[in-house]
Amino acid sequence: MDYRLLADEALLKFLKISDELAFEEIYLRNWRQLYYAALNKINNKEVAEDIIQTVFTDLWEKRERHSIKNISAYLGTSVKYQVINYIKSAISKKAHLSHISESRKTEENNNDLALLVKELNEAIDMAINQLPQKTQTIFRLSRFERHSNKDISRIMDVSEKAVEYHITQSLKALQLNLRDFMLVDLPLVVFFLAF
Amino acid sequence: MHRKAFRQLLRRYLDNSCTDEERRIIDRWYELLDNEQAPRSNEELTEVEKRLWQKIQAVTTKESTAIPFRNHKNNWLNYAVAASFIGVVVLVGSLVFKNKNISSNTPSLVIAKVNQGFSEEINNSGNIKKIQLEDGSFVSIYPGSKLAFPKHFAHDKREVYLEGEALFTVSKNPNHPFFVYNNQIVTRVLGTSFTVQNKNGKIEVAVQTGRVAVYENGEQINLNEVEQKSNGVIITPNQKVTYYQQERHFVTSIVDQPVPAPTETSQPEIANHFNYNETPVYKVLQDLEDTYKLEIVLENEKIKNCLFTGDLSNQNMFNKLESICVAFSSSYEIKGTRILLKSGKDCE
Repeated sequence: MDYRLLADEALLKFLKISDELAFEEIYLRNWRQLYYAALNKINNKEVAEDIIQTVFTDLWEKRERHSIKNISAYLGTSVKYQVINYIKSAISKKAHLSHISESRKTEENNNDLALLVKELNEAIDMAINQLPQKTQTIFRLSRFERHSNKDISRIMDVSEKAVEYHITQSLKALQLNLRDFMLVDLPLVVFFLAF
Repeated sequence: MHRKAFRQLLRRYLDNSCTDEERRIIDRWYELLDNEQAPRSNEELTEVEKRLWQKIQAVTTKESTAIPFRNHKNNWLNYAVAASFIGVVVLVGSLVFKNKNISSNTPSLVIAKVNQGFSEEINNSGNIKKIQLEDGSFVSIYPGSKLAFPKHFAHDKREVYLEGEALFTVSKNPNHPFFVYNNQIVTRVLGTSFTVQNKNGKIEVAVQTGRVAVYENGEQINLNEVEQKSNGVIITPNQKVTYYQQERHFVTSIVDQPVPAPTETSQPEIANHFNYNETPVYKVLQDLEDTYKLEIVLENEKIKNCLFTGDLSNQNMFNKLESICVAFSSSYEIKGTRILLKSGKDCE
């Protein structure tokens, strides 16, 4: 039986009855895209590999009670949660190093949170508004409305290469303008500043 | 301050306890995190693919031996190919197609496998012929049917090829999944007994115990551009699936005569525990569900506490259901793999 011929929906059904071959095929179909996604966000191969490993072992552990409709979307979201979780832990570690007392650290402050949400929101809007109009539109289509580069090239009537270029330029400019909210702080990579 | 608040925000996002606005801002922030990555070489990716899979397997297959990576080819396949040159092509002339209209353009899988050196069992007698395979599994081959199986199973799976009808009782071994190929469909078995039959353009698989997965064999059905991938279903005891070959369509339902299904630990008790005296009907139905491993749905929830008195022992499942229905002036209907008990009179 060649599992490469099976539809994703069928693989998901067989995963439910602990079919390891279906699990392997799901891995083979999805790991690469997920690995790149994690690597893009974290920029650290070891961490990216750990994240992929966690995502797939979690999937196996949940295999009998899952109700997944779209496996690649499900795994993509799992990676996103793992990445955010990693960044959250990295912030905790950093906080620990800078001698913030445990009691103060765990104390929640809703004013700070509201302020942060407001500031971050404004900073992102402002940074995006500073981009040239066309770049802005392409970036919004790509990142906030989730169109593929192919779709965008059709909508905007430009080549796919041009779409890629605009997005790369946006990310560079945005990361520069949002320095206060993300800092390349190796080895923790994406990091948070200003306190 | 910022850092603490930010960590708190991320934690709320992960806990799913944040507001819509907070969620939106984190989603936006996340999209901005991308770093440009140099494309990796194929060698590097292949190596990562293998290493990661080994790590994942170390966690997922704790007590069992590792599944070999796909790149490792099956030994018997090589032997089979070699054997086909030596030639075991004796039986071709005497074979009969049961479903001529369907498989006229599909070469027989059984013949193909025999040509590759597989052993073959043909039942030309009028009685069921029971054989044992090298793994201890039993196959009851029905009259006019035939089975091809390798002289020795591969180290990672057991594959047999069937034409016609047979009952399989497969020994449980999760590390060596058992596959039955039957024309356009493949049945994946996990320690179980079930029957496969093929007639009039339909293939039917019915399960007695355990669970099986049934899917289209992509190599056999010339998939077109639109439907590149094949499909499948899972069936459990007392369920059957009928595959309509022309339409490439699976229909699941209940077997004609459900029998008590054994559980993992015990053999079924067909004995006299179906004797009820003023028992709430939901408990009676629960007994039926547990015994036959089928789901029963009540259309009218109100009858579930009605009291039932009567002895249903020594009746088959459908007669048991009839007796219950008579008592509450209701009726039952089979909906796919479930039994729907139609509304009867309320008790209160």
